[in-house]
Amino acid sequence: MSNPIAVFNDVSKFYSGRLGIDGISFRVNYGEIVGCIGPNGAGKTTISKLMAGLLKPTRGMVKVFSENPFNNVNIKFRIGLLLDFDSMYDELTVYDNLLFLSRVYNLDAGRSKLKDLLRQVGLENELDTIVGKLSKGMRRRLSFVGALIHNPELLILDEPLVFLDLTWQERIKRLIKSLRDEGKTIFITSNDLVLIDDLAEKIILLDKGRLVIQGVKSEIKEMLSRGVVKVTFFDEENFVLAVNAFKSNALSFWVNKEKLEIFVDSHPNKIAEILMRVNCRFKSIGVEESSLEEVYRKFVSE
Amino acid sequence: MELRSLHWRRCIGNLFLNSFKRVVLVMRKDLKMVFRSKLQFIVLFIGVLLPSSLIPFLIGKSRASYAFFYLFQPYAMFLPLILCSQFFSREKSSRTIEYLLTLPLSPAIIIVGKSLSILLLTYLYVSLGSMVAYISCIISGINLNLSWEMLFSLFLAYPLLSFSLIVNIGLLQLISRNILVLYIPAIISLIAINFIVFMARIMGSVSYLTSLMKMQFPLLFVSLILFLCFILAIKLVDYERFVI
Repeated sequence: MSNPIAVFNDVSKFYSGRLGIDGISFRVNYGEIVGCIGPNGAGKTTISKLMAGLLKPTRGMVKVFSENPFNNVNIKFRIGLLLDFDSMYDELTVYDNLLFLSRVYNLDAGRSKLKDLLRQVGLENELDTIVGKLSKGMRRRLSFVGALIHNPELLILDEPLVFLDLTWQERIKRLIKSLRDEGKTIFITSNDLVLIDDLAEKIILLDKGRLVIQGVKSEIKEMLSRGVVKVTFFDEENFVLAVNAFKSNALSFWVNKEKLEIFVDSHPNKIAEILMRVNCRFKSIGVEESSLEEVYRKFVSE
Repeated sequence: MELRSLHWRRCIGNLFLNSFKRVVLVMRKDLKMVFRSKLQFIVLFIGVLLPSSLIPFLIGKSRASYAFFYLFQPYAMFLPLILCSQFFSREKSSRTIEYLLTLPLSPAIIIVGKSLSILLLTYLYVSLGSMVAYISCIISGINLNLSWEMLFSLFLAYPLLSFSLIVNIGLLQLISRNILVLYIPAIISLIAINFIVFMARIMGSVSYLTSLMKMQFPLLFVSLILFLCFILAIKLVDYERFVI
């Protein structure tokens, strides 16, 4: 078993009697991207804050780097937290905000170094701009730099793409992937299922403060797969040939003519045999996985 | 044995130095935020410099030193309490306190850093005001006859009492969302001052002013007690109330 960076063991959190999360247990291993999804009020932010040591569990045990993170100053040097709101000081300039952060983390970050960091999020020309005058998206990108400034081992991202336009959503996704490639451990909480589907290897699905399902994303999807086989074709001629073959074999299927795809409710081997019998050439064949959205809809109550 | 004691002394020294550096970081950040606002300079001019320069014209020569004290005693005492709402409550309501707590800064360092920046601002206001008032009196031919007691009260006893109050109030404002908490400092300080004056009168002081000036040592004692309360509270308080 891989070495865990964060462990939640039967953790419950109540806010003056109101349920935050209840009996949650999971592990985040070194170098993983773990995605935490769930509807509003499911407890995603509570988990982030417990992991970052901002909250103390009512019951159970939270360990990050084998220590209790609550009010533990030393652990905070190793954690980068992106909160779900703009956290920088509006009255200060971008430079002042980052300078304050770099000094808090005992870093020797000069103006040029900070400019290089800002280049990653396209804010290199805003160094002397007052944060309050930046757009929400820009502030979000700045907060992202703030979470990364000290090169943390564990990155906790709460709704990282909120306020960002499509271009920057893609760029930040690429940045997160490159951070994963550098060996960082990333815990993302989001309502954006596409983001989690794109990035996360492990998924934690919460509903009303309780853990509904957790595990490796592909395993969860496979477990819930509908047994539908997707066949993709090179050209329309083979596509039509396959449609006729499935009709004559009385198979239930539906098509996406634009993408030259056929979805058949049968076993892949049987379909391949039918297609070979009629000399039909196909591009690919495989079991169609459930999307994360389907997993979400299956488990989360209305 | 000696080596071990040297090692411990170094550890404690480093810990103290490190904490102090972090306190200074918080102070610098807060002061930068204050002086980015133009409003602060308007307050400084209308609230402090203008009335200070008018002292010799508003009162007679004989009462100039009393007026001097009356003008700055509220600044030394109440300005920090007003600034408290800007430095602590605002940080709580804008949720930037959560952001600060995600950084490697302990709650005690955040509170002490903020309290010291409030105190520094107060010193700046009182010192600038005093200088303007003093120069204005000299130009008008008034001899202020400032006693050491008066200066000691203005620049040490009251600011120290304020600092001790601020750290406690800061803590209170960070754990509470109730806006009424803002009024608590004013009530506490009024009660404290009137109690001290009452005690001074019982002990034989003749006027309110002399009572106030003669009570520096009780003030210092109260400050010490209040600061010890803060040390105790910082150990006992539940920090997640800063976030919830």
